[in-house]
Amino acid sequence: MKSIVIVEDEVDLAELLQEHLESRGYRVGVAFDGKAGLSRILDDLPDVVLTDIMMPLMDGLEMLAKLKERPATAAIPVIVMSAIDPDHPHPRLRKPFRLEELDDEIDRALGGGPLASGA
Amino acid sequence: MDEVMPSRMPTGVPGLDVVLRGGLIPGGLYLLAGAPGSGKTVLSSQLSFSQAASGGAAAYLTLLTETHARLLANLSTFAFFEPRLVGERVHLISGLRPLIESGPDRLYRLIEDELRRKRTSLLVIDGAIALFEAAPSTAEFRSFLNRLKVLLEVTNCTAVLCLPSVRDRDDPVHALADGLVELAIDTVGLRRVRKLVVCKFRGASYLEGFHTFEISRRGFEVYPRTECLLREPSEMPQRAARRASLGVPGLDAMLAGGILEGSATGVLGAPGSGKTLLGMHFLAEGARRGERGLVLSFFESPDRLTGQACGVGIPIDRYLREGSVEITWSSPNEQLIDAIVQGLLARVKARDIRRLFIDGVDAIGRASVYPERVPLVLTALCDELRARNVTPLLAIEAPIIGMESNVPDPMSSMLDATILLRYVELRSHLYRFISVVKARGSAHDASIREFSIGADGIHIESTFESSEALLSGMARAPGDGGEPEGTAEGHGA
Repeated sequence: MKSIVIVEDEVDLAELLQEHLESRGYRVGVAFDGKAGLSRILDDLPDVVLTDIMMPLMDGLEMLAKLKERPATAAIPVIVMSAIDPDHPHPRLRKPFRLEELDDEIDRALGGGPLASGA
Repeated sequence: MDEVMPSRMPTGVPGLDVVLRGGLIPGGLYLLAGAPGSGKTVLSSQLSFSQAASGGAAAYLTLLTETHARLLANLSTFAFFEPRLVGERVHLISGLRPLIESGPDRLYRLIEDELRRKRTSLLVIDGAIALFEAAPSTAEFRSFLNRLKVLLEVTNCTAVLCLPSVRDRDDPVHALADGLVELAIDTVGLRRVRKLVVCKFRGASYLEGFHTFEISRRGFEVYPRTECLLREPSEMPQRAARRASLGVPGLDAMLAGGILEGSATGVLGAPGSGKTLLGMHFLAEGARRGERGLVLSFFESPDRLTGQACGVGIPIDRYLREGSVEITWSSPNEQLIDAIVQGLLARVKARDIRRLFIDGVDAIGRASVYPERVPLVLTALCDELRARNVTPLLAIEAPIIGMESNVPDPMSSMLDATILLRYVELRSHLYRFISVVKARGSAHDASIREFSIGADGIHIESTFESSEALLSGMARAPGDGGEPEGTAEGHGA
């Protein structure tokens, strides 16, 4: 089963995304700020990271830079979900987005659904 | 010893810094209270973008509010919204999770980290009521506020907490805050009027009382209450020494050479009686003498005004082209009296206007949702114009015919002079008459003159010594009521 970590400080949105992705068969972890997100990703080594940019304690761009520095996490596909458009190389979901758009981006990142073999 | 005035952090919100006499005090804790929909989010967002645009950094912490995406989408419709600042200098962060999971202490640590790490100069906490509700006790809530106050002081960060209301003046949040601004909405007839009041502002003066505000695409704009703002004119009015010609020789003669410079003159008359043309004469004469003029028209568009004036030989089109006369047209409908008056004063100052003609000054009164304020506002306006040595001519509507020939009560005391234009019915004819019914501090001819409007504009005719009750509008000749002496056929309206 593929796993996803969501890093998002807006609780209601994070929980909604978690429920949706779990219903699609993914294993989902959630963190509510960049610092907690980094820790969670290092622990879980998920198949995809879904992250916000503006967050307390550590923002999304700083967290992604730290992931990039570590060999274990540097290659994890990242999807940025944000209402703003900062400079980063990752696919972006512009908030507000529809769940179908999220599904498409996740499928693209994983090369298929929750049981897909390729990343 | 000189009084040390605290430095201010401008809010960047038009009019609000005037009310606050410069802005908020850096490092202070301010409350912004108002019911949902009263404008708290727009105001605090505008503060944030203004702070960011001037080189500071704002943290917008949401507790109970819409999603950040929805908030940004809504804000993107305002002129102050600058997308490049979002994430760079305006940081949106949600504090709800740490507050719910771990209480105010965890939220405090989040704020402390944010302020230190990003050198935040403005902290907004939207939905701050959640703080009070999440605190296990009043003591813990008070402790949070105390710690926050100290943090704000040492980081020189200013905080604005948005609340639905401050329920009780004994509430710890009220006691600890450096200032409290309340937003409210008045329903007056079918209109809803937004208003703001500063209830508390520790360590500094501010403009007391309620001030109206609007929220438009430009954002939040406050109009300080004119009579409060101009309680004292910006300069001490000087004694008028010179006369300002009205551009109508016969009328100038009745006024011993013209109206006094810097004095306020009302022109009272029925629709079509010639008030507007007299105003055009006044401005054209000023332009001819190198004095810049402005028309504020509530009824006629610039094209129509120009057409009327040119139609009787007043070359206002030339002066418009040259820039020595300007026409501002504005419907009085759904406007705020303070917005009209302050916009006018700003224009007068920016363009160095010497002569002002307000066509339909009573429309300003009709625009006001608070009629009791009208005389105060107009008096303040006239006093300020006098102080700036601007000579205003104010056209005031009167009934077409009948007994009413007085300036409406609210306006009479603010005027230095009054010119009355009358239609008079006599033997099935309507005649136009003009008289100077008041000229404070100045000699004037009190006779009643007939006047005509011809190819060269207004022309003053002879006096009517043999008729009576002219000002009533229904004249009679002595005896059985003959035709008045001096009346020529064709001079009637």
